[in-house]
Amino acid sequence: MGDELHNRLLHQSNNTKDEVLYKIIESLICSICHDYMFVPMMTPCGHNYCYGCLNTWFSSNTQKELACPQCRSDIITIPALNTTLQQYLSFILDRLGGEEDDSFQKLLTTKIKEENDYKLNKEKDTLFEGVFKNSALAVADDSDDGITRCSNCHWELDPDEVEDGNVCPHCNARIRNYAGGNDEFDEEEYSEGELNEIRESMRRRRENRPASVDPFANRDDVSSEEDSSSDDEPMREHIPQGRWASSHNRSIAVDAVDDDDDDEEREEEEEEEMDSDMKDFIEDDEDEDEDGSRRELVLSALNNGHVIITDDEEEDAQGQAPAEEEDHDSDFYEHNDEGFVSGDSLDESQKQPADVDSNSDSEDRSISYPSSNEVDEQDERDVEELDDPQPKRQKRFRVVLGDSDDE
Amino acid sequence: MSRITKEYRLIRKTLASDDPTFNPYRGIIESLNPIDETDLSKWEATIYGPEHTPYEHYQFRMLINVPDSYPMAPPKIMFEKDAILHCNIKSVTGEICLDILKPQDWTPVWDLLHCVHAVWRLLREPVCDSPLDVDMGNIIRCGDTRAYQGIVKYFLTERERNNHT
Repeated sequence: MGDELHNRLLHQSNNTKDEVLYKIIESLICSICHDYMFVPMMTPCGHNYCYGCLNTWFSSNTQKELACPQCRSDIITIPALNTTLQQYLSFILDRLGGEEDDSFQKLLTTKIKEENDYKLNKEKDTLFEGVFKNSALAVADDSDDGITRCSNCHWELDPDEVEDGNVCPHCNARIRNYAGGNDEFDEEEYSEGELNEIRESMRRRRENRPASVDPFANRDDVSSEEDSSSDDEPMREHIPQGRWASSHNRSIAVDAVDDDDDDEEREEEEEEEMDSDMKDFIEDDEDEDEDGSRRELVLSALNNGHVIITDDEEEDAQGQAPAEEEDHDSDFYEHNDEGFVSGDSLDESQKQPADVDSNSDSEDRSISYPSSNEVDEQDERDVEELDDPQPKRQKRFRVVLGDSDDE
Repeated sequence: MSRITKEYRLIRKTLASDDPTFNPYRGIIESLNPIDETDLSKWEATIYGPEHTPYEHYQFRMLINVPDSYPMAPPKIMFEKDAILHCNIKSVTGEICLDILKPQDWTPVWDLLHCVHAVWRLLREPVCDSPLDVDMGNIIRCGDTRAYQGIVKYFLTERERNNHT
């Protein structure tokens, strides 16, 4: 079987052969410099670039994590020399080297120069200017409450501190993967009830959206994930699939919340429930971030971009109990009932506590959106989906809530 | 040979082609070329208004500044002043708010054709959550697309009228 393709290729027309050859040569071109890769380095995500180009890319944006220019995934481990590609190119140069003209000579000179650069750096052990030696990783240890720490000095990485520069605030090491969490769509900012509302609101928005503003339909687009999502599940695809999808998603979500002034109020109330100690401090998002007593770290990189929601049951319970004891008017419960319910129901590890709640959930929702015809249908589906362990949602959030004694 | 030189060759070849598989930018990018052939740091581009938007049937010219550090840094793209109305564009200056053109979201894998194409798509899908033109953004947020399109159409008709007088 191993020679199946060999034989087939031999019997193809010249056109097809040319096409194959052309494709191979094209794969030897670096997408950064658009030139041949004499020293092709392959990133852990499988993309190839010239050694020089990748090096320049890493050093040109020292404020950021090391990310693949093609797919933007974090480059945690040092790229390796792709010898296969290198041999292809050498072979091709070898065979085409018959007529030696100036431009061909130039190619050869470049080849030798780039190979020497690489060799020299490798011998001196300074590949990529040592960036993989002098940098650290943001690592979350589950046995340590999942707190993200610098792999170099074990200092806790607060997204707020790491945000500008992606550098460990303690040992100053550059963090190779993305350690700041604030760019993400912070699911923990919202109660699950609000998330549901956001989903609902986005669904409605999408339905109302005229054809003229169709989401981008084309390749290599930042928002193309959105396009592929089916209308049934408006939010699922909007749960960020890594850092890069997030700005788009977040903006949609924020907008959806802004639709309704009540939501802001509700959000604050939700925060109180999350940590009743906090209620005096919270005025708005910024303040809450600044006082830092509630930590949120969202770390995606180490799990190959998979983000996991771990919704701590205990914390939920703690969060709810004081809130219930507190003296709230009936309005409060009307607003928040829904929040509680779906919050629990979204969490796969936690079983629906009471059927009553789910009833009130759907009631609430139909009251909130009486105009939408699909609401009932959608509701049923929602409930189904929520009880499901949500098989589709593979990329999820790890939510880490620390206590106020952190600082 | 620098990357921008190579791009220039590719752009010329691509845009000259009538074959849609080779030139996917037909009907999107009218032209993309350096203002002065000897200086590849300043470019101009003309795009067609996307179909089924109020921009349809109009053309929009933008100016592109390619920094020395390109492609490690993104090109700077601006529309002409007072030539377009869009919630992500500051009409007075022509400034465009598009994430992939921001240094933090840029990657060197993109080239000028991608960027211009992305701006074209921005015309097709305004993102009202990060508006440069807050008023226009608010109209979309309120869901009043008819008003939005009406205002854009009016603006563009006026633009044409002023151009002719």
